[in-house]
Parts: sequence; structure tokens; C-alpha cells
Amino acid sequence: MKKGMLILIVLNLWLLTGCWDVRLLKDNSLVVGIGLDVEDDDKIMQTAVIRQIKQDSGGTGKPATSNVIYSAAGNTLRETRSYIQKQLGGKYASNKMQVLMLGEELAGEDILPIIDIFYRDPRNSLGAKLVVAEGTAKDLLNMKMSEDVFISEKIYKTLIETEEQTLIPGVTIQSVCPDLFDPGKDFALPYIKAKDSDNFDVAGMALFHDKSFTGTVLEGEDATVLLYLNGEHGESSTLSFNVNPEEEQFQNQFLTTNAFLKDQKLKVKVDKSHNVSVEINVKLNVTVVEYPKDHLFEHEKVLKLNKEISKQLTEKAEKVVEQLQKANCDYFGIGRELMAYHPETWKEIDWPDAFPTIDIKPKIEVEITGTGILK
Amino acid sequence: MNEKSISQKQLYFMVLQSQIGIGLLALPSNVFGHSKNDGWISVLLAGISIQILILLLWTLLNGFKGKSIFEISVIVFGKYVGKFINILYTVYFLIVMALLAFLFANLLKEWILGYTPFSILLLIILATTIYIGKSNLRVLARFYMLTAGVIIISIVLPWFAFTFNFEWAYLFPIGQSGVGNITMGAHDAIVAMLGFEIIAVVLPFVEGTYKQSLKNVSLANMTVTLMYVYFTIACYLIFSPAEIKIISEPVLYLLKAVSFPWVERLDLIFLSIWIIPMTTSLVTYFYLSSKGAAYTLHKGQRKYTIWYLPLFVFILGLFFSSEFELKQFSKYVAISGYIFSVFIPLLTLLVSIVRKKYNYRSSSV
Repeated sequence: MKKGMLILIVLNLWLLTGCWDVRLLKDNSLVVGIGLDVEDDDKIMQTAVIRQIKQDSGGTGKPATSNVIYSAAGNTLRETRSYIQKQLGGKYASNKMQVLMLGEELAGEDILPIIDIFYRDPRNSLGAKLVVAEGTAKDLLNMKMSEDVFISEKIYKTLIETEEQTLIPGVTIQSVCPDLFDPGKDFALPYIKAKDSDNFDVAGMALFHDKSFTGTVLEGEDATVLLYLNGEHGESSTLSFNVNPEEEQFQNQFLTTNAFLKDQKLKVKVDKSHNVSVEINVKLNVTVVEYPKDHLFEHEKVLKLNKEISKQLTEKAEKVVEQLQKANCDYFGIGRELMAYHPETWKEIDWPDAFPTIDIKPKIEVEITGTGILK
Repeated sequence: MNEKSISQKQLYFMVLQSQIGIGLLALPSNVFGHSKNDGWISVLLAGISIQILILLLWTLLNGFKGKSIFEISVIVFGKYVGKFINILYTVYFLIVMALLAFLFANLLKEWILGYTPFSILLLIILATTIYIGKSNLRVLARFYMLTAGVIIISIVLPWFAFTFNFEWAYLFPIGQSGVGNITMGAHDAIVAMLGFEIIAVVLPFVEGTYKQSLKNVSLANMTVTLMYVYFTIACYLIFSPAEIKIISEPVLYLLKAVSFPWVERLDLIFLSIWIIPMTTSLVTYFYLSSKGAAYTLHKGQRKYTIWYLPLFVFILGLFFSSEFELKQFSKYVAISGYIFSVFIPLLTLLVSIVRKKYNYRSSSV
């Protein structure tokens, strides 16, 4: 009898608690993308892309969805959220957010105070992609649709695609967090440009120093080279080289390859007077996917090509490193290495001042390992 | 003595499940406060210290075979002082139980049930505690052993978080924070590893010799220490130093950030698994306090104590309104932890040797 009573009480308690913490989907407006910008008077402008399910889908197949875009300005992010809430039919729910886009100007400031809220509230999605938009995020998101696909969805998918091609780093709100707080390592975010009124382009990597955007963007192959130098890689990447500049027909001058990262080593050396020098050695395996000149059955020819494209890539890498140092973006985390393995040197030098002047020697070795089904 | 006995294997799981619990979730950032990225050394040091405390307590119990700590204090200090010490012990166990329940409810409120009132969460937790804790020792031991499997799942889950930003450099240079700070960090870690005190009451009911028991208790402590070191290192590899300082529950946080196409919010899954070890430590202290109260006030009958002690905890819980008060409370509990697991056992041991009561054997054994 007594036991039965207890079980009954416990069961009833479980039923009771549900009333407080239920969040019904029908009451929520799912925010799938957020854009943040700075206003003229230093207020924050939030643009929220909200997915709504149309009521009149009539029970046939999938319910029709549409994206609605709201903007509001306020002193803090939470304030803009409540302003948007006022315009909405349901509760603002950002737990399914896929993309968080920062306007260029906003990214140029200290971004931590702005994105703090995403770390603090346990219901936020930390897996959302963090990107920087050329111009303002508001304008970019106001495209609404790009070729019949909703903008936030398309951005999300494009980002994943480009990550696979080793054109941008795979950055989420959470993965950026350790670097954001780390004085010995900087990071880079994908950079998105609007091409025309309903098209955009993932252009490359926006380099950050400490907690703000430096204004430098590495585009195309430069970004790929930087990722390989740091040991990051997607599934593969396309690199092309001008190996026969003397050829008459333009296309004949080029060799196009699929590249895969084989090995990456970063060595930090410190001498007695605390001079830091860094060597980065990268080995790439490539398969030739396009080479109209077709002479790859000769082994010597291949070796010669290996040497040529290694040289070209190393030169490119040197330029990338130069840009990196100019922007003062310690993307390789050399400062962290110093902290960990050379603490005396770290105490001795002022890292933001020292980084642009240190000696970084990148070296990329390429080996052609396949030629496709043609020789 | 109507309590049934438990086996050696069950003893191992009892100590294990009593030691691990809610403390783990915040451990890496708590320890970080003093010992920076050497936190894992602090945890290791804390494990060794706990081992010493276990040896101390065991030495005392070994001198009075078949007696629990409550009986020992009466034998050593006499009827009145002994009873007074037993009441102190009971209050201490009760306070720890209250702290664990508050932390548990607070955690649930913070991470999952934001709109549910604190008192309701506390009520549910205490109801569960009563439901499990009112059974006798053998039932408890079986429950602890049965649910130990979830610990393995909880060890595997963080592996999913290792897919990103894995930085060995965060651990170096080893020993950067100095011996003093590492020792201070060990103090922060010990609090999360208390729970071995359960042997003070259950050791007389374990089958086999006291030596075997010592081996199993030490083994349990070693398991807990290694597990805590593992979780601490995992957190230090993923969060950068400045970041971990501000994250209050890093173990949950590292799982929160992982998402897969088929599952998101691994932290919620982890939390719902971790509810079991959190409950078991709570039940342990409930058992200890109700046992103590029963011994001093009700001639060993736990019939009443299992009802009014949780009620007391519940009423106490209504007075806590902020996290900071809770933090202050847990500081006091930590200090009293030293008094009751170091000072009093040591005092009892010394007095018993001086009064030639050590190796006491009553006629009933």
C-alpha cells in the first residue's frame, strides 16, 4: 500500500514538471540564420532569417515552408532579439541556427562581446557556421532566395562544399572559441561576397588578429595553401599550375591537379637571444586531372614536373605567409607553441609586435602520384 | 545486527559510485583556478591524498573489527562524548547530502529545465533518493553495481568531441604553475572525490577480511582518480586556458558543441546518463546520515529518519536563492569535509591507542 502510494506520487511529479519546460514547435519561430551589423550610432543591427511553415499546404506531401526576414537594432543582442520577437507570430528560437554572419565592419571590432550570448545560453546551437560578409550581413541575407533555394540553407550547403574542397576552414561558433581566448593563436573565418542581387560567392578566408578582422582576405588558391600549411584539409582541392608558359594555346600552358595533404610539420626554433624562426614542411600528393600535353608516361618528365610545381607552390606559400605576417594573424599558433615549449622566450617578447618580424620558411613538396586513366 | 552483508565486488562499486558524481562536471574548471593547465596533476595528487585518508580510516576501523564508526566513537570516547560526535557526523553527512541535492537541482535548472522552479526539482530528486535510499544495504549495493555500466558509456561519449580542435600544446609546459598552486588545486579536486567515507559505516558488513576490503576500496579510488584525470585532460585539450576559466561545467560544454546529422546536444544525453552517478552519491550520503540519526536517536531503526531528514533538506533548500550562496555553502562543506575525514578519525585513533581500546573486540563478534 505504502509503496504504491510512493510510486503514484513520483509518477505524478513527473507529469507535473512537463508543464513548465515544454517548448512546442508550433509556438516557436525557428531562426535558421542570423546576420549582425553595426549601426551608425554603435547599435547592433540583427537580421534574423526565420523559417515559417505555410498553413495552406493542404495536406499534400511536404508542408510548404518560406523564409521571412526581420531586422531590428538595439544596444545588445538580447535587446534586438526582443524587438524581433515583437514582430513575430511565435517565440524566437535560435537553437536550430545554421549560420551566423558578421558584417565586415562589425567583424573589424572586438567580436567577443557580440557573440558572447551564443556561448552563455545552453539552448543555443554551437555548431552554427560563423562567417564574415562583405559589406553588411543584412544586405546579403536580404537576398532571401538564391536560385530558388532559401539563402541561409544555400549558404550553409555552400560552406560545407567549399570546406570539402579545402578552400575555407571548417569553423563553427564553438571551434573558434578556444582561439578567440588564446593570445597565442589567431583564426580565420570564411568570407562571403555578394555577386549580384541574388547570387553570392564564398570568396576565401578573412584573417583575424586577436578578436577582430584585419581586413585581409586570402582568396582562392592562397587560402588552400594556407590551410595545407596549417595541416588542415578537406577531401581534396584543385590546384593548377602554369608549367608551359611558352605554349601557344593558352589552355596548353596549364596542368591541373587534385591535391591531397600527405604530411605537415611545423618546427619552431628559438636561439639564445630569443629570435624565433619557424620551418613549415608540407608534402602533397597530387593526381593530374587535366594536362593536354600528355607526356606523362616518361618518368623523367614527371620528376621534372614535380620539381617545377613544388617550386611554384613554395613561392606561393611564401607570399601567403608574407600576407599573414602583414595582417599579424598568427594562424599557425606559433605563439601557443612558444608558450608551451619555450616559456622563457614567450615571457621575453611582445608577441603581437614580434610576429610580423619573425622568420617563417614554408616549403611545399609535391609528388604526382596518379595521372587518371590517361598517361 | 539485522543488516545483510555485501560482497567484495559490491563494495568496490559502492565506493566507486559514491565517489563519482556531480563534482566531475565542474572539476576541470574548479581545479584550473589554482593549478592552471597542470590541473590534471592536482587531480592525481588529490587521488593520492584520498588514498591516505582511506588508509587512515581503514586503520581505525581495522582496530575495531565488526564495528561502524558510530559504535567506535562511543567505545572510545564514552557514552556522552561519543554520542555528541555521532551527532556531529550525522549533521555533516546531512549537510553534504543537502549540498549534493542543491547542486543537482541547480544543474538541471541551468542546463535543461529552465522554467521549472528549484523547489520542484529538489522535491523530485529527494523523492527518488528516498525511494532508493530507504532500502537496506544489500539492495543498495545491487543497485550501485547494476548501474555502474553507465559509467563506461560516459567515458566513451567525450570521444566524439575529440574530432575538433585538439591541442596538446595546452598541456605544456608541465609544472608551469608551481608546487604550491598544484597543491591548492588538489584541495579543489578532493571535494569532488569525497564519498569514500561510506566505508566508515559499511565496512563491518562486507564479507571477507578487512585486508581484502582495503584492496577493493583502494582499487575503486584508483578508478575514480584515473577517470577524473581523463576527463580533466580531455577538457584541457579542447578548451584554451582563458576559455576554461569562464566555463562552469566544461565536461558538459565540450559535448554540447558536437553535433551530428543523427544526434545533437550530446550534453543532454550525457546528463541523463550522469544523473545515475549523481543520484548514487546523494543516496550514499542519505544512507549515512539516516544511519547516523537512527543510531543516536532511534536505537538503530531507520524507519523515521528516512522521512524527516529529506524534509529538512527540502526546507533548507528553500532558503537558497542564488548560485553564489550555493558556492559559499559548498566552501563551508569542503572545510568541514577535512574535519570529518581527517581530524576526527585521527583523533579517535590516537585516543583509542592512548586509552588502550585499539584492537577492541566485543563479545558479539
